[in-house]
Formats: sequence, structure tokens, C-alpha cells
Amino acid sequence: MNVFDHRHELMPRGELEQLQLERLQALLARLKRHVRRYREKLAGLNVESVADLARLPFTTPEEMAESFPYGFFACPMREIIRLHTTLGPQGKPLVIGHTRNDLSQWGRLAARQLAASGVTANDVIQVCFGGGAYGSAGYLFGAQVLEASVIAEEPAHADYQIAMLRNYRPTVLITTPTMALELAEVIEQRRLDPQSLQLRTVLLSRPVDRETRDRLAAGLSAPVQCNFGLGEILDPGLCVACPAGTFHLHEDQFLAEVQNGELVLTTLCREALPLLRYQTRVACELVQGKCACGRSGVQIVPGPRLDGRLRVKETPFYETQIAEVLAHTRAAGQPFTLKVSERHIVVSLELSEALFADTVWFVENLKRQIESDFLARLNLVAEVRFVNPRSQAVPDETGGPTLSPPETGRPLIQS
Amino acid sequence: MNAVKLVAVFAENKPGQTARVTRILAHANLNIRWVTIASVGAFGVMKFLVDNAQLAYEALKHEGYVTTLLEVLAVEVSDQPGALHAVAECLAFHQINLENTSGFVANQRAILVLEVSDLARAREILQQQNLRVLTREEMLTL
Ligand SMILES: [Zn+2]
Repeated sequence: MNVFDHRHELMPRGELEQLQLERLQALLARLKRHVRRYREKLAGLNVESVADLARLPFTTPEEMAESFPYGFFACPMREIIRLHTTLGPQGKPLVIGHTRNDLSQWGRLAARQLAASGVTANDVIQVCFGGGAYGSAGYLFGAQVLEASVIAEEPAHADYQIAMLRNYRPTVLITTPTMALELAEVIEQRRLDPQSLQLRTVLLSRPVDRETRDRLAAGLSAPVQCNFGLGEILDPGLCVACPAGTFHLHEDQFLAEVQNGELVLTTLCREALPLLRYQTRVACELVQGKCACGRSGVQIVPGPRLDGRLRVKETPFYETQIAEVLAHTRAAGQPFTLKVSERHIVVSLELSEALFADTVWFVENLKRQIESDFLARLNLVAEVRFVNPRSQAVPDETGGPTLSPPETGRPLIQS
Repeated sequence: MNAVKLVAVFAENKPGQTARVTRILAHANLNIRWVTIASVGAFGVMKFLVDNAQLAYEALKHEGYVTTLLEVLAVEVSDQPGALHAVAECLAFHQINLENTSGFVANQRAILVLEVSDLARAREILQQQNLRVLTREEMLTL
């Protein structure tokens, strides 16, 4: 077991609970003093034990979105040195601030993950998040803490990434599942030997199922670990994924609860944006016990999103955002349905008489315009299909030609 | 003069679409005199000349199809090489945009169906060239 911060990661239970209580009490004091929204909610409330957390009020993503951008900040702006944004409820942005201490803490928490994956100062790390995926910042801080070498270049195309893997000989690859699958596919197509790469470990930005993990481990010839994080809390740096694939929560930093199947998190140490009992909108199970890796304590078993958040490749979005993009086009207000798969989204959009001019080119142009709007506004490669209003109710007839001229009993010439 | 009207229908490019549309027209007792279909990828546009365009429009609309009516020019030309070229050149000379053209031969008569931007002016120009522009009634009794 590789451990970066022995004192905090392997703290005896009793000592840990004492530390949690002290930090929770300090958190309450800070919230009451510095955040107006919490001052009212927390008036007269105190905690004598960590279990008292259950008596404290929740914080919702909707409240955070309402207070956009800085309503929940607990520090004056001059102490905040970094602003990140993350996707909030129904696609509304949330601003996540960091003080200098927050950033160095983030680095140490990400370093726990890297160390657990066996990364040391001798490693060379290639970080490839591709366009649109956020979140490489935490890994860079973590690598810096461990003094590992980071290749400060992030080519978008799989070919260039493979060239980098072969030229720079990185030992660690940190990337998204989409990118990792693409790399594995290209390596297979080109008949390259994945063992000729020097990869010792691959770290994925979000969880994937067992089958995908095994496929990637074989395709890239290295053990694969996944991260689980939340943009509003910390991503990466919320927990450590051990070689057994378990997510071990950083309990000295975060308190986790499950309420009606939903993961609820409290940040104990964050300065700029401390959150009390934040409802994450992610389904979750918490497991207590000893893991095969030797760690004990709280394990997170994350489930699906509970708020209808969708994802294609690495781009998260909500159905309301699709409607919003359409609202800016000539197809505003037209009913639509979505078909979302891992790498593809089809927006079936009802055509109307007002939108239909009688040529295919007109409809084709409209389709292209809307598709480019999806890319520009949501960074989403979507396929738009126009449909007749009632056709979704009409089942497809099988057999028969698609669009071909019917018999009219006359010779047909077309110029 | 009654202009020739076509019914244009938006259709998804999936099995049975043509059959479904023509079945609707048949059920409305409409006779398809001529048809043109243009398709791009997942969808296409069918245009029909039927004996009652308004009725066809309503029948298709009732069945949930996005449909429009459009007026076109039907021009009789001599059934010989260069006939289309002469018409196209004449319209181009007068800066009239030819958006879509198709044609057919019926009973030894060659008919061009023209979709143009300025219908009235195009008709005038073609008639000045002594070309016969057919009325709706003539077109339906070829
Ligand atoms: Zn473990």
C-alpha cells in the first residue's frame, strides 16, 4: 500500500473522530461568521459530536446556483486566487473559488491518489483531457507535490498522443475514459504493441464499469484506476481509488452521509467555499470496513445521477440545455426527443410547416445550423434529425423501399 | 391563368415511407400524375403532381406530415437535344434563378417543370420566347 500522508490517511479511528469534530466545530464558526446564508440557517445550532451533523441544515445545488457567482464564498475576494466553474443544476454554472491554502491542499489530496497509484518523483506523467473536459488542474497540482515530471502539452488528436507516448515514454497516463478508449482503439488498429509503451499506470477521470476497465488495462497494457469526484466539492481529491478499485473517502477532509440514497458531503477544511451537508445529486452507498488494500474507513460506492444529468463522451449536460440551444434557433419551441448513448446523441426534432421550405437543401442547412449551435454553445457533437410531428407514434414499417419513386405509369426523366 | 401546383412532403428516410405517403394519397382518391424525390441522408422531400393539390395537402397534413404547396411552371418544349439548355439560358439572361428543374415525356410531349424565384416574370419571359406554359388544367389532361 502506497500512502502519501500517513498521519491523516491512516489515522486511528478515535483520533480521526476527534479531529473531525474539531474541524466541524471550526467550520460552523466560520460559516456563521462569514457566510450570510448560513448565518441565518445555523443560528443557535452547535455540535457536541460528529453525529450531531444530522441536526444541521442541508445545502442544495439550487441554492448555490441562486447565489451565483460568489454568494457562498466565505473569504473576501482578495484572498481568492483561483476560480473554477462547474456544471450546476439544469446546466447553470457554479463558481468554485480557491484560496492559496485551498490550492495547496488540493495538490496534497490529489497527491494521495497519485501516490496510491504508485507515482513517485521518478515518473513522467502525460495528462490528456481533450477539449471540453475540465479537471486536469488537480492532477497537475498533485504531480507537482510529488515532484513527478508532467509533460506540459496536451494534443487533441489520438495520433499525436500516441506519438507522445512513444517519444516521451511517460510512465503514467492521466486521461478521460473516452480518450483512453480512443487510444486503445488506435493502438489496436495500427497493430502497435501496447507493451512497447512504458506505461505503469493509467488513471481515469471518472468511474467506468469493470468490463471497460479490463478492456483498457489490456489495450494499454497497464493497470487502470478510476477517479470519483464532484466539481462542487473536489475533483480529483475527494477520495483515493486503491488498486482494488475501491474509493476511500478522505475522512479528515470530508464527511459523507447518505440521505434517501443520495450522497451528502461536508467539506471540513475548505476556506473559500466551505459547504455544509451539500446534496450532491449522485446516488451512493457508503460501506464501512477493511479493504483488500489494507485501508479501513468509509468507502464510497457511487451510483447514477439523480437529477437527470446526461453525458456524451466527457460532456455533461441537461435536457433543459438542449431546449435552450434550440430556443436560439429557428426551430425554437419545436418538440424534441433525445437518444443518448456513450458516444453519440441524436436530437429528433419535429419539423413544422413554418420551418419547411420545399427543398432538401433548406432542411439540410437548418440541420447543419442547429448542429453547429450545439457544438458552439454546449461543446456537444449532436446529430439533428428532423421528424414529422406524428411519426414517432407511427411504428416503422419493415421492408419496402425507403425513399424511392412510386409507380406512376409514366416514364420519368430528371435533369 | 391557373398555375400548376405541387404538393411537397417532408419524409424521413426509413423503410415504408414512400408507400405510406402514396397510400394516403390513394385513400383520398388522388391520382399521382408525376413525382420527384430528393433525399439527403436521413430525410427527403417528395413532390407530387396530383389532380387536386389542395386535397392532397390536407390529407397528408391530417396524417401528421409536414407538407406545403408550391407553384411551378410547366413548359412544353420540343422533344429534342438542347431544349432545356435554351430555357435555362433564357432565364439566366433575365437573371431568374432556377431552383429546381425536372422533366418528363408524355404522349410524345416533353414537359419541363421549373421551380423559379419569380414565377410571374419567368412565365412572361418564356411566353415571349413562344414557349407554351401549361395551365393546371392542361397539365392534368396530358
Ligand atoms: Zn482499498
